[in-house]
Amino acid sequence: MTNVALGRYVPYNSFIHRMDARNKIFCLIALMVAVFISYPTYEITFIVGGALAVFIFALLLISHVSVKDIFKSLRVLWFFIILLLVINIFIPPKGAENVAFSMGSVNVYWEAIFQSLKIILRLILMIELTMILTATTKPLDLTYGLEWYLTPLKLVKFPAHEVAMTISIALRFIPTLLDETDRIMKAQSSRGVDFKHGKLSARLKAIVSLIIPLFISAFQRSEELADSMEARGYDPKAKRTRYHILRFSLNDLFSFILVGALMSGTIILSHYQWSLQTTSFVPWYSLILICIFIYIILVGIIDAARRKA
Amino acid sequence: MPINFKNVFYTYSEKTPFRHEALKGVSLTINDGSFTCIVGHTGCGKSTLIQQLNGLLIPTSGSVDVNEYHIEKKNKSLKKLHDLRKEVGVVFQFSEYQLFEETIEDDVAFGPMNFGMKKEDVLKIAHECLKTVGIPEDYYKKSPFEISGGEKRRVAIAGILALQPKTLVLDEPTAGLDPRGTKYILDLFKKLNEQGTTIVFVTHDINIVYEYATDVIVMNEGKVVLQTVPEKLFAEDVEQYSLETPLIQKTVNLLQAKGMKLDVSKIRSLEDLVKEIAEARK
Ligand SMILES: Nc1ncnc2c1ncn2[C@@H]1O[C@H](COP(=O)(O)OP(=O)(O)OP(=O)(O)O)[C@@H](O)[C@H]1O
Ligand SMILES: [Mg+2]
Repeated sequence: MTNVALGRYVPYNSFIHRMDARNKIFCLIALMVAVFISYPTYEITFIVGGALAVFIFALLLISHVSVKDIFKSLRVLWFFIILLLVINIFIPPKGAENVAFSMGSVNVYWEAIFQSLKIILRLILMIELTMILTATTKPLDLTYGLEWYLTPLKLVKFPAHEVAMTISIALRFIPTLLDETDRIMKAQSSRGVDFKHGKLSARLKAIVSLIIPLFISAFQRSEELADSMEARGYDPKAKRTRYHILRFSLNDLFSFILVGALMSGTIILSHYQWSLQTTSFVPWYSLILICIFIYIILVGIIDAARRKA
Repeated sequence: MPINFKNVFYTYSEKTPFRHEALKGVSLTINDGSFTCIVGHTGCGKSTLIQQLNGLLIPTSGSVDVNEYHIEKKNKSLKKLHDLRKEVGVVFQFSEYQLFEETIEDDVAFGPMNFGMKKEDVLKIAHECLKTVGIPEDYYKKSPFEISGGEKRRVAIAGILALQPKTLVLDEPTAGLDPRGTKYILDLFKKLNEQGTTIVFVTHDINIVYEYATDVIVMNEGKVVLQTVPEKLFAEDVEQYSLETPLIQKTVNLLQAKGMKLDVSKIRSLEDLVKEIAEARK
């Protein structure tokens, strides 16, 4: 019952914790791009992947996310990893020709092993990245960050504030619901429910005895919250000021440039070989990058203008 | 066998910034057949303490002995804890939120069935337990979600009674009940106690301690400040433990100040007081 703290905001005071939420969202996306983009050869894939893994591992250490917790969460993935290996072995990727070894009549190709390793590496890095974001960013800041990115949509009457508010309430209640889960599990354990062992039917019953009270109390809570918000005159359409203002600091600028450069670098690398023959890919990706930068600058201006008005 | 805590420490969310040391070296004994009350102000670790009694929480360090079970961090086999939970029944604070079955009788029967009893036998026990907590018969087939909060609490208590535990642990079971409901439930526990069940009772109500307890444990900030019998506790100035003086004792003190001769050792409840006053006025 103790691993429920996974992915929760943990209040340390690290460099990453102090970063602007908007910037962190950008960096997450940029690093995800770097992780998921495909490279021309397996050598480059694993060199870049390894470098990214080291970099992200350093980020983990800086942000005080417990590496042990991450490995715990990966345990769930074991089944998936094995399945992946099996599928790749029996249905080798296209163009596989280097046989590593043979099991009876089945040839196991190096390509199949590399392919699986690549997917696993990507998965682990993706989980680590999201974990860094959620562990270092207050849920509320995260939603403010999201709302900021949605600002332009407000111009076309998209309910950005309502969406952000909904997300932030949902996020706010995750720890509460986890506590509630813990409490109900304890109460049912006292009545002899065994959540970890037992036959399938008993396990199903155990889960029912947890889910029903959990839902009931969640509905009750949401009703109470809605009532109390209304009682205090909450109006989603009203213009509001904010207690907490996101600030883009010098550190943010540095990390923004660093991660931005990293992403551009991997994109260019990804098409290094191609670019010798068909140079047309580099400009395309540069264009996308430039668009992202312009979008961010534009949103900043719109937001500043709205705040002044 | 008595329940024994040996230098028990418990820390929530260890090795994270949420780390909270809730128990700081608790040693105590709960005797068989006693009605032990645990008092102390909000957040002093009472609920944490009682969760050690049936292995829901395992001490961070130190050990707990309950009957033949030795609970220690090094030594946890879940199978054994499952059996322990039949012997030590815990009724939680806000226990009304644990109900989930379609009917009240099924919900009460849920516990014993988890310990391998047959449905027909269990339903009989369930009906008895519902009767003892004062739920009328026409409620048995109702949904637990369409009854009042106080009734839910009683059903939850019945759900634990149905396990027929040797030790019954109750975390503020009377909070939010009306005075008559409180008295009814308390007298029920007293009767069970007289029939041999050990009762461990967490409460904020000093009057309950005065009237029902055979043993008292006073806690403060994760430590046991005092373990004694009520006679000794109330002979002292209880306010030094930031407890209130019980109403009956206050009355006795006032009457004695006015010169009435009362035998304090005989007075535990309101009826005793009335009897003693009548005696004194003869
Ligand atoms: N799940 C938890 N995680 C972290 N800290 C907790 C948790 N449960 C309780 N605590 C903390 O441990 C301390 C003791 O809590 P506990 O619930 O045992 O108090 P209590 O004496 O039962 O209080 P009350 O009279 O209000 O029921 C409190 O300070 C509380 O904040
Ligand atoms: Mg409590």
